[in-house]
Amino acid sequence: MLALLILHLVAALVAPLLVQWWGPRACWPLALAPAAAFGWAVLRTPAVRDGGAVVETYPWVGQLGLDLTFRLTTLSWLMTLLVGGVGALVLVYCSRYFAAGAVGLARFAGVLVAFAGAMLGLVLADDLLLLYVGWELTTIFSYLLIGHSTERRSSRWAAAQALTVTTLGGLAMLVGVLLLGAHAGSYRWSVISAGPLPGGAPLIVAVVLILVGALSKSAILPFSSWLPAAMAAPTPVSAYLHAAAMVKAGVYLIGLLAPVLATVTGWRPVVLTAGLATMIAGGWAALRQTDLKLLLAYGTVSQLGLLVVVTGAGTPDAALAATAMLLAHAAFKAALFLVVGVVDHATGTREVAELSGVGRRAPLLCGIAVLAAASMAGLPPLLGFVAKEAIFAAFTHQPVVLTGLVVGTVLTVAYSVRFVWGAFASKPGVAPSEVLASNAPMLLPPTLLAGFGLVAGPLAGGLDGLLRPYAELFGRPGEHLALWHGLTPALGLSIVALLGGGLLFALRGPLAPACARLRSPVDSQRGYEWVVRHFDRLAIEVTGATQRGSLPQYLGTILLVLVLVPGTALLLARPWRTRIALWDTPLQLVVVGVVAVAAVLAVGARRRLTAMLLTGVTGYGSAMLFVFYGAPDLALTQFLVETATIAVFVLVLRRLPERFSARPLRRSRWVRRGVGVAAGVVVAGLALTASGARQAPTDSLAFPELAVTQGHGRNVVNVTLVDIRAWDTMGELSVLVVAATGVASLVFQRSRTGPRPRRPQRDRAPAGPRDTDRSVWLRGGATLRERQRSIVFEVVTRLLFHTVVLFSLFLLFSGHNAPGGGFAGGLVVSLALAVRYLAGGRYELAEAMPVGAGTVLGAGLAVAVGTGVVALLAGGSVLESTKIDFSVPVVGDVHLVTSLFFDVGVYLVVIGLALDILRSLGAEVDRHIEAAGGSGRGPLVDRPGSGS
Amino acid sequence: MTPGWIVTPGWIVLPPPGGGAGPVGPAAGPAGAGDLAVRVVTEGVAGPTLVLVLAVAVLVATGVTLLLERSLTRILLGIILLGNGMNLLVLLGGRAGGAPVVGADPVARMSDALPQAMVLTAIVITFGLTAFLLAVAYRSWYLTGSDEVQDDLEDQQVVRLAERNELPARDLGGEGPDEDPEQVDPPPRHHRPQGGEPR
Repeated sequence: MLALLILHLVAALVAPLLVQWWGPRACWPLALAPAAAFGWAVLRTPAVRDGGAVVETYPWVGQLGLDLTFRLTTLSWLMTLLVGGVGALVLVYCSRYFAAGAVGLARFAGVLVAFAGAMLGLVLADDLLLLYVGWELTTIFSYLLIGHSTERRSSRWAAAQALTVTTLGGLAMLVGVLLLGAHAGSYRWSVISAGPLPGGAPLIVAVVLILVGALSKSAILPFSSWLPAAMAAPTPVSAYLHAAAMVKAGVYLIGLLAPVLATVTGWRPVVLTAGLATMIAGGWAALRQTDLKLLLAYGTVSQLGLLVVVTGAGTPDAALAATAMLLAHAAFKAALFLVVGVVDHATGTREVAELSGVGRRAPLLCGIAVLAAASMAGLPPLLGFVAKEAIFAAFTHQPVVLTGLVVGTVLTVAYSVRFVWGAFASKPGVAPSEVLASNAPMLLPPTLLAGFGLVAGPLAGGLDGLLRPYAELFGRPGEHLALWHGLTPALGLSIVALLGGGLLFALRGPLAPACARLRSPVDSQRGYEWVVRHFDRLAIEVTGATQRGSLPQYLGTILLVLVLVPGTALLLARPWRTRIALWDTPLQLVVVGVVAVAAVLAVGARRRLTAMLLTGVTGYGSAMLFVFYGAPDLALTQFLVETATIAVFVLVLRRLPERFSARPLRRSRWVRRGVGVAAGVVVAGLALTASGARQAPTDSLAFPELAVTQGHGRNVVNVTLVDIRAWDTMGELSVLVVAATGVASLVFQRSRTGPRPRRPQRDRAPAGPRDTDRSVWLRGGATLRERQRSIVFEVVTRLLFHTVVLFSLFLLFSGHNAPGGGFAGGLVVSLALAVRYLAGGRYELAEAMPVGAGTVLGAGLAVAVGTGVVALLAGGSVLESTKIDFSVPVVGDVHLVTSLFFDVGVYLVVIGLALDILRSLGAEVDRHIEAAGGSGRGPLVDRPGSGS
Repeated sequence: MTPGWIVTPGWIVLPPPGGGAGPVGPAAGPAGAGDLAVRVVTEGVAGPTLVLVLAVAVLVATGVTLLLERSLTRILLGIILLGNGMNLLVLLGGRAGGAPVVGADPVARMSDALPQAMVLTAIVITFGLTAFLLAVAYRSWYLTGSDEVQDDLEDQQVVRLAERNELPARDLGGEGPDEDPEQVDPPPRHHRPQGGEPR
């Protein structure tokens, strides 16, 4: 069975390609997929006719206990025949329904085949969760098929409505399925139905929720309005999805569950009431339609109501009748829809009032339609008659339901006649329609489907044997499917229905005002629209009340929650330690004092530069505190980062206004400060609490030993970064790469790749005494204006740069055993690059680093990932490090730890980040300034707007 | 500061033994059960010291205050301050001690390496974030002439709709398919196959 599903998937995937090659004719090979499902089911007939089952299981998500479990029993066998058979015929029909070059045909063909596969998965699934997956897939494909004419509003509206309603039901059903699975202890229906099922409230809730899903899918009241709207789809879709296959999914689910769940409280009232109401209301609505397709759509709603009643009744006789009706309905309704498509093509209209004399001009088409409509009306000797007889017989002991069914059948007969009359009769006063000849691929499928009803009716006895195993799940059926039972009450009711229906049609003239006045509840979009409109209103009100669009407000709300919830908890519990040391060393007090003053001043600063420098003081202060705390690596990194931050800040601040704009709102300032102080106090409380809250010894107690034995390094922090918790570092590298890319894409107006701004070639460089490599300290310096150059700076840069880079390498290599490492080393190089840029301008940057930032970032990431992969290939776990000892002549013994390469990756990523920042916020901003005619990297007082 | 701190960074000054001349805080009285007051002592008790907790409080308070501003530069400075405070907070989760370099100090006197590794990561990420926000600020200035975050326009539109009790204009059209002039299928003549002429 899995092979069939895969076949559908493959067919769906190649469908667009085939359509491109062959146009609509591609539907022929595509029809092979559903045809294969049909043929497969036919071959499996012997296995299921005695009540047996074909089972296949493939392991899938083991952790969830979810397997791909398929099970073919009588009911799913019947559905597979329908899905496969009608699917193949509809695809054949499509090969001529669509003109060559029709818009969206490639997508359409793929989605239609995919739908057939999803439907097949739904009916074959034994696991209810798998069934749910198929269920929702059909919803999605149906959405795409209904919305086939994407350019039309009605089409989009109808697709969205179908999606909304059926997904709503589907979600309810999912909850129901989960409840049922938890209640029964298994999601496999074969297991649930085999064992005893405890009753109780959860089961009732589960049943009602699942029924909501089934009823919404089958367009039963109160969910029925989506189906008539879905007629916006092309006619083959209506024939397949909205007559034969998808809408039957709800009926199928009810039929699947009924043997076990029909006795649960709530099942019968819901199913019988909703089904009967839908049958009558749908039939009434069908009587007043003038569009043939809509007439059939309302007829389908009505028939689905009937099917739900019969399938859900839960008696053996009803079950047998239900399967017969399921089969009959699929055949005649699909045939009728296809006939409408042919009429539409041949005459150009589907309006009852515009069609006249079509029957005389297209007798074959008329014959097909009459045959199918007669089966719908329940005329002997057709299959529809057999099924209807069986239904009446099954409900002889339930007079109320029976009355409803007879009324519904009267309406069915009436609209069946109305359909044939409307499509084919010669009407007085209407000009005979012009009818074009039809082609065989469009006539063949409806002929086969309608002919099936004619053949299967007399063969009802054989059908009885095939369908009986399903009915026997409920007990022993007393009735048989047969064309002739003798003079039974059911036969009398059939005659009553036929006569009543004929009479109703004959009286259509006098009854027209009543029809117009008494609108059927399924005939109205109003309920759905009311719900949608009020939902929109609610969303607007809620969004308008909570989402005001102010960033400070959002942040303030979040922070207030931080203050109020943990703050209140802190005050109530007072969990902190009561003894606390004042300081580790009095020097801490000095540093903290400086930090605090700088931080407070930074809040009040009016000039950007001042605020930034004061913030930098807190950073350096933090670094000092790290030193006192015993964290030299942190201190080193913090010093370097703080310096780099200041450099980057200055690059941007030269373009921003010197001062912050004055904010007149005094009150809001105090609110901000209040929130800030409160947050600070709460966090301090958390700090006091957290340190005393440890209950288990920390993991890191083992780190020093691990570092030496496993990581082969003595600097525990560095080994933690590159080995023990290397995955964290890997994540961080990705963040840095993203940040660097983000910076570049925000600043560069054009691509940052491509040729970098190298120094102009010598022949084009400005002439001057310094125009030789020998006479300049920095080659890019020649591109700066004279008054912006500082020869001392250039000399110092020239002297220092390589030393600094060497030092960074020292940090990188020694970092495993002493403070340092990839981060620190990379940051040192970054600072060196920044100095080169500041001294020599943007061309100098490219001279110093003649590769793209993206290359460096990518290389770093590749080296880091590669280290992990190599460790994996070598048989270890990802990023596990090994020590390699070898001896080199002259140098001596070398101990190489593989995590060094990971650190090299870190080193490169940090350099790449710095390079990207310098090239974006430095060089590219320079270019903006030059383009704007500014005075180069000048003072900080560029006025806003001058560059844009 | 001695320049040798990279090599032997373990010079943590431990509290003077035996309650020496160290200062005693104002709440030095007996701390009753449930007393809000915290007793400041000079004994070598484990856990964070008061000055560091104060530093966290000040950095967080100032950081949050700046975070609630509208100028992106100030927001960014707020994030940096907040980040410094949080780094310190995370660090306080582990004990202080000598540098976590095996061999420099006995393992028992070593500071906790795990929070340090986390904070080191955080410092570098803050740097990346700083650069990114600066680029955002620059872009904002480049496009609008200021680096202030304005209220979201679409949100304001929704607020106005709510005040006027109106519905949004929908792609689907508010009226449903009934009012749509073209009801169901595409016009059939477009779809009529070319081979449909009388043969």
